[in-house]
Amino acid sequence: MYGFIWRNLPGPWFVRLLICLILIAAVCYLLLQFVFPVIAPYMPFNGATVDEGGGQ
Amino acid sequence: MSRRERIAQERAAQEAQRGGTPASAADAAEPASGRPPVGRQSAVQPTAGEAAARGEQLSGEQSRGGRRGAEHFSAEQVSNEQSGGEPPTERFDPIGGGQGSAARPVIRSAQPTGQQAALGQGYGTGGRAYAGSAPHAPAQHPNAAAPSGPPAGGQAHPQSAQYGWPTAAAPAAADYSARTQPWAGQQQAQPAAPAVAGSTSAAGAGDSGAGGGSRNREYEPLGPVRGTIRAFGELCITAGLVLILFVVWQLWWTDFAADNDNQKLADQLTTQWKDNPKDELPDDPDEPVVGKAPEAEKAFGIVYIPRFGDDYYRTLAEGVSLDPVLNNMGLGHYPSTAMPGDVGNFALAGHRVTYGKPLNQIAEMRPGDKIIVQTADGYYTYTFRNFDIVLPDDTDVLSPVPAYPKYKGKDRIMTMTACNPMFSARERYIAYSELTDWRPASKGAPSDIKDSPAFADAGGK
Repeated sequence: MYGFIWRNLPGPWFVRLLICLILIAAVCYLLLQFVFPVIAPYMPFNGATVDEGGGQ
Repeated sequence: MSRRERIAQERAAQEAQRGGTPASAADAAEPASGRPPVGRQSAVQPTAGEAAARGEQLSGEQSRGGRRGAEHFSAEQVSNEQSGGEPPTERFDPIGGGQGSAARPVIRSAQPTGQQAALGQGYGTGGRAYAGSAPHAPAQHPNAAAPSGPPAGGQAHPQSAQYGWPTAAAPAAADYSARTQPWAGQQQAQPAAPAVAGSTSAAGAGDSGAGGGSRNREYEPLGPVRGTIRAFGELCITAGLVLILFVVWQLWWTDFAADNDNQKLADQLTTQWKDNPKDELPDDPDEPVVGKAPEAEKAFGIVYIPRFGDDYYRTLAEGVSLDPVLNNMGLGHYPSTAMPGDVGNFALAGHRVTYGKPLNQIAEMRPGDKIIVQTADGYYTYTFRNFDIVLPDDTDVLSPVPAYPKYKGKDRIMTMTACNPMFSARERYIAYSELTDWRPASKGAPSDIKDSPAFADAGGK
């Protein structure tokens, strides 16, 4: 998978490295900004309230 | 030895051949093209016994093109003739002339390449292991050692004419090695013929290393099984990294973000309060002013708890939804419960871990600890009384008389809820406090927080 990406990136190695770093940063940004906040409520340590459901 | 010097020596060797016998004129014409023509390969190769077996490898080498293919080709031929039982003297043609000493090591350097190609070039690293192995080396070395005595130049040239191209191929190989192979100089430096036995295996190993390196740079697709295993492994590694990133985000980043939000929100609130001061006094001086319930998910207060540190303050917002109140705005006020200062139960919720962890040290509270809630109306001071640990569905703790939801109390109490134990949502930690003091906003902060860094940070001064 990573080999495939590396082979299909254009340019010499430092351009590929730059593109790789940008891709990694983009993936991290998407995870931190959109994915993790969505799944965090399902983690078993984020409940702070008392309610009838008792689920939180 | 520089490349220019080497080329000069090779030219000298060619001149010697050309002058020696007319038969070598055809050979001398070869170097002009720089390497033997590819067409020669098929013409000459069947003369050797193993040629058919090597055909694939050779064509593979050739198809990679350029000088590399040419070098392997020429080297192959040298070894062919040697193993074909011909007198190997032709390899040492140039020795006949004094100038030939430059060309001779070149042939030697090419020879192990030919061995290598014959033995295992097609098998990758496995083949490399055979490069210097005993079974082939002894067969070669006696041959190499036998003619090491200086053969006559006149004897050599007819043979080179017979085979046509090897003398021409040698300069091509020399040219290649001088340009591109750093270890060529090492071979050039080797002494005369007796050292051949010792040097061939090392040279062969060097050449196979270089050849293997260039091959590894090219992409060879994995088979379906290995490809699947590799892809699966890479996915597992990726999943592990994502999980680590999630933990980092949850444990540190959310704190960082929530603290940032907390500070901004507190600044907004205090600015707002300063711009619109409320100097409302209650009808009964003993009764605190009770504000109206704010809109949902709006910040309306700041909570100071000196026990949690003299720089501790958290904003207080309406609602107990995780997003946005508890995750971003600090503490949340249960909307169904009383407002600060009112008779009944003023109930708050807050994270004990992550998201700024406003109630991280809730278990550190001791009876008598002060909790100051600042709103637009003033400062409500609650005093901690006792704690409880309940199940998450025990909403009775929010009733005006905790655990007795049927009764209407007359006390002004405050309840804080957080998860218990830490990093678990199995239970809830409940802290009960009681209103003990109230000051209108115009009278300023109570002495408990008046000079604390928290009050200054929150914008109170």
